[in-house]
Order: sequence, then structure tokens, then C-alpha cells
Amino acid sequence: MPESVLEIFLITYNRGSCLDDTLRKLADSLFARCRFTVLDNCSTDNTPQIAAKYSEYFEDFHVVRHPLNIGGDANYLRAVELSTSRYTWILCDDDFYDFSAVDEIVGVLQAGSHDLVIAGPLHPVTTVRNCSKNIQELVHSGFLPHFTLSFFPAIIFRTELFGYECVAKGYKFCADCFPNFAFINKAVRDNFMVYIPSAAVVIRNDVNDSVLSPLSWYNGLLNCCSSIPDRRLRYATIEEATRKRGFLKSLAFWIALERHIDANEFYRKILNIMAILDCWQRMKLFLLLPFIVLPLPLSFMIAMRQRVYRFMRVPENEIPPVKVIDRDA
Amino acid sequence: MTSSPITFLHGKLEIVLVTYNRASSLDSTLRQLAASPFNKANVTVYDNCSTDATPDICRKYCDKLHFMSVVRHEKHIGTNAGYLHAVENVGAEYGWILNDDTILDGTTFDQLIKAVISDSYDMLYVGSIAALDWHGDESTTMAQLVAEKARVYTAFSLWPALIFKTSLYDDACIVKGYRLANCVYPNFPFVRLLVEMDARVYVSAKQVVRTETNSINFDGLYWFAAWINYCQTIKQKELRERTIDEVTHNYGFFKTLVFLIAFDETRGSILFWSKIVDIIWGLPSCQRMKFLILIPLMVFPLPHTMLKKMRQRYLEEWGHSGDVRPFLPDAKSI
Repeated sequence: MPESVLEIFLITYNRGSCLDDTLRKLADSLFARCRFTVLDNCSTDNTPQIAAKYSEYFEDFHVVRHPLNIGGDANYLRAVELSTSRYTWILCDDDFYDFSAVDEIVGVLQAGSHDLVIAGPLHPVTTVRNCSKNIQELVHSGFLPHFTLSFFPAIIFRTELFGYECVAKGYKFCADCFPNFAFINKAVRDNFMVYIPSAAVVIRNDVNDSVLSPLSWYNGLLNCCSSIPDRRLRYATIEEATRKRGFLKSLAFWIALERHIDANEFYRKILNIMAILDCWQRMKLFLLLPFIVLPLPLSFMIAMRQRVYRFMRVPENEIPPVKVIDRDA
Repeated sequence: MTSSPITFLHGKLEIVLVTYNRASSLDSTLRQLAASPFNKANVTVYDNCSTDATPDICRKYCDKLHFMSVVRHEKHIGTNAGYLHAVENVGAEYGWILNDDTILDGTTFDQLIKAVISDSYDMLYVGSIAALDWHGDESTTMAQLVAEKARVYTAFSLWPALIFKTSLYDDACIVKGYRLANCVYPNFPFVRLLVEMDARVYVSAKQVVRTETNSINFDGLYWFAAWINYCQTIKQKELRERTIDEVTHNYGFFKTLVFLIAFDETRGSILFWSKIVDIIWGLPSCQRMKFLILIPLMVFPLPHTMLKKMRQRYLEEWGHSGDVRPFLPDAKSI
């Protein structure tokens, strides 16, 4: 039974209805028996009432409410810090779940022979499922650990391995919104034993918009990637970010959009991206110089964006809205 | 001084100690607190998961300090995150976050307590007057300090020097504290807020807190890049440029930068270049030109013997002078 070895945290902020859905799904699963803690980042909506409602559906249910909002990344690290069980799983408030592979995962956790269980989708998707391997082996076969594991709910990890050095370094990655990057670097360095179940348990919900503009996100990812010691893996990870639509297409779009949604420090981000990319990509980025210097009208950009989404067959009502970010300089 | 104001301290002021593996320093700091009028204030010790005798030391003082509590983190979370965690949990009206190696000077405690109790300040500064470049025992405002060119950002970066009104330290300051520039200077967003809201400030007559080890445990260029990064958030141009200057003010721009670049441990790697980009981006244009002159130094490494001599000279020159310590790399790095 999972309750003896696994502890679950759920980090949430001001998304009462999402939280309601998520908790309802989890309450019906085997995980309802585990020690379960909701870390409420001082939400101002009905989150406390919704969380309180579920205490009877879970066997060991707790709510911790921070006195102030500390940001999602710091909240993630707070969860790591608070965990006391052998394995920890940190969830977000808005993802989809598929519990078909739960039994195998529980079996693996109880056996205790693995350091990591990957509960999320894999990058690349062609990676073999239903196997246990060490990370280096997976990396040699093309697996991208940083891309796969940086999604918070994707990893169920052995708590003692996410030690203080990963937490303290993790705070330094908060600036770029990847607080578990230090842990992933450790996982690769120390060659963790990984179990990949036959199906993903958590499926990412891409509809809820992120707080970052795409270019800021890319810039943050690159900043974090610069900490990957292995050169090959570093550039493979960077490339994965733009694989779907191609480097030029993605960057052209992000750059053009950036001026409209988050004009802060535009040139600094470009310079920083230039500094971190490899030579070949840097040259390609130079091709975009006209885009960088000359802004395009916003209406044109939005029309283009709509086309790209339609091309990707995203249903009309699931296209995330364009949000102009006011970051108070 | 009558005893009545002191009893008012309970609930009014919370003194927080953030400590990690320095039991003997903690012992002496707590001893000073226990012997001072502050023993009636709320005292909270955040033990950053120390592995030494820290818990025993804390227990020893539980009955000497009237309102003491100890919180132990399950994991070591680093000093700067520890600071923000402490700020988040301050319950009293004013918060004062000390390090475990803070040395207190008690001669002006009475005035300080009066100022705290008077409730007419948003922030009380108890650090070095020289670092602030100002005269003491005065109530003033941030606007006045800035107008008279006091070095507020440098002086307030030492967090034991600030006694702040808890209600002002809001979510935005905490989140930005974690997020901006890798959390190198976690209270910068708060200082910026104080400047922008034109806070009422009390500057104590004498330096009350002194910290033994104000050493920076990451490399200097990294710190410099982070500083410049933070300065970008200052809206007024003149103040921003002056604040950037504050760091290199003591030893001159060229001298400091040559030193920092020559001794940077990540030279030639991506990390190094992304720091350089940050610096070039953030410098005011005339300094940017100066910085570009240093490019050969960034590309071609200096010979080992020259580095050794340079370090020796700087050690002699900077060894024990001034408040702003130079960023000296370990001997093992060269």
C-alpha cells in the first residue's frame, strides 16, 4: 500500500475551481490513502473552503497556508523541505490524471529499489515505456531528462536524494522558474535508477497560461540549461524547446510577440539568448535581426498566432489568450 | 529609563535569528540578547537544519529569553531563502532579522526602543553610519536620504541593519526576493519599495549591529552581475546609475572589474558570458564603453604568476580597510 512510503503535496494559488477538480480526481484514487498536504500560497479566493471540504475523503489530509504568497517556485521547494516520507510527489492544481498505471507504480515504490519514478509524459515521446533503467543509459538512447523531469508532477522522487544542496541551489533557479533543475542535474550526475511506468499518470494541462511570456520562458530555460555540464545534452535540451515548430519559426514568433506582451529588458534577453546558444543556432538567430529591430503590429501577430494554433489542430476554445504582462518594471 | 516601555516590546518587536552550523557564534549572540532589554521581545530562532550543537544552545536560552521559540527546518535551505522564510513568518509589528554572528552594541538601546515604541517609523536603520554616508540619531525620510546621496541600497543590503514594519513587507517583495537575480540580495525589492513609498526612517545614533563575516560565498563577478541586475529595477535614472556606482566606488571601476574578471572561476564557459551580457546590459553607457575595453582580458587568460602577484597586492591593499569588503577568491582557485 502506498501510504507507508509515499507523501503527496499539492501546491496551489488562487485557482479554487481547478483545485476542486484535482482533489476530486485524487480522492477517488489509491493515493487518497497517502499523507496528503495542500500548500496554499495564501490564496485570496475560496481555496481554503475547498481544501477543507476534502479532509474527509483523504485518510491523512493537511492544509498548510503560508502567511504570504511566496511564489510558485518557492512553494515547490517548501514542499520538498517539508516532506518526511521515503518518496515524495509534488502536484500542481490544474493537471489531468490517468490512474491506469498506479498499481505498478505503487509496487515499485514499495520495493524501494528506484530513485525516481516518472509519472509524466516523456521527451522524446518515443522513449521506451514500462522499463527500469539508469539515467545515463536513457540519455544515451536520446532521452532528455531536463525536459521530462522539470514538469513538477512528473517525478516521484526518493526524498533523501533531494538534499539541501539541491534545495539551496534550487532557490537560485527560481528566477527562471525551474526550481528542480539542480535536482535533475544531480540525477544525471549520480546516475539515478529510474522507473518508467507503462502510462503517464499526470498529463500536463497547457490551457492555463503561464506567468511568463514565451521569450522570457525560453530565456529562463536557456539560463538553467547553461548549468548542464554535458555539452551534448545541454544543446539537445535547448533544441527540444523549439523542435515542434522549428527554431526559426518559434523564435521569430516569440520575438515579434515579446515587444507587445512584455517589453521589459527585451534586448537583454536577446543578448543573453545569443550568449548561450551554440554557434549554429546563433547564426540562425542573426537571420532574425530584422524581426528584432523592427516591431510588427500586434493585430498581425495575433492573426499569425491563430493560424499556427489552427495548424496544430488546437480547438478554438482551448487557445490560450494573449495576455499583456505588466510586471511593474 | 523606566521599565514600562520594555514590557511593551512583547508583540511589538520580533527578533529573528537565522542560523546554520555556528553554535558558538549563536551562543554569543543569544547571550547578548538575553542580557539586553530586548529579552522581553519575541525572539525566534530559525535553525537551518544545523548538524552541530545548535539545538542544545537554543534550549539553554529558552528560560533566559522571555518569549523565545525555535523553528528547525527539515532541510538546509540556504541563507537567503532562510531570510525570506523568516520575514514571511514575523508575527509582531516590527521585524528584525539577525544573523547568528551579529555583534550588538548596547549603548544606544534605550533610544532605539523608544523609536520602536513610538510607532512613527516604517523602518529603523541600525547598521554602519559610514556605509550609509550619513549622520545618526535622526528621523528622516527615504526621499531625503536619496536626495542627500546617502548610499541606501548598499547600506540596507546588510539585513541585520534593518528593523522593518512587518505590514510593509508584502507578497510582491517576497516573490521578487526569491525570483530576482537568483536570490543574491533578497531584500532589495523591499528596499526599493521603501524608496518608492518615501518611508519614514529612523537612523540610530551609533552602529548597533556589526557582523563578523560579511564575506560573500559566491564569486565576485556573479555578485556584481546580480547587483547590476537588481539596479535595473530602480526607476529613476540618476539613482539607478549612482547605485550601480556604489559597488565600485571604493576602489574605482577599472581596478575592481579587472580584478573580478581576472579571478573569475567560470572564465570561458557559458556561465561567464551570460554574466558579461548582464553587466554590459545594465551599465550606464559611459561605463559600458569602459567595460568593453576589458574585452581582451575576458578572452585571453592572464599568466599564473601574474595572477598570484596581483592577488598578493590586492590582499595587502584591501585586507582590512573600509566597510565594503573586496571580493577575494580563495587561495585554492589560483
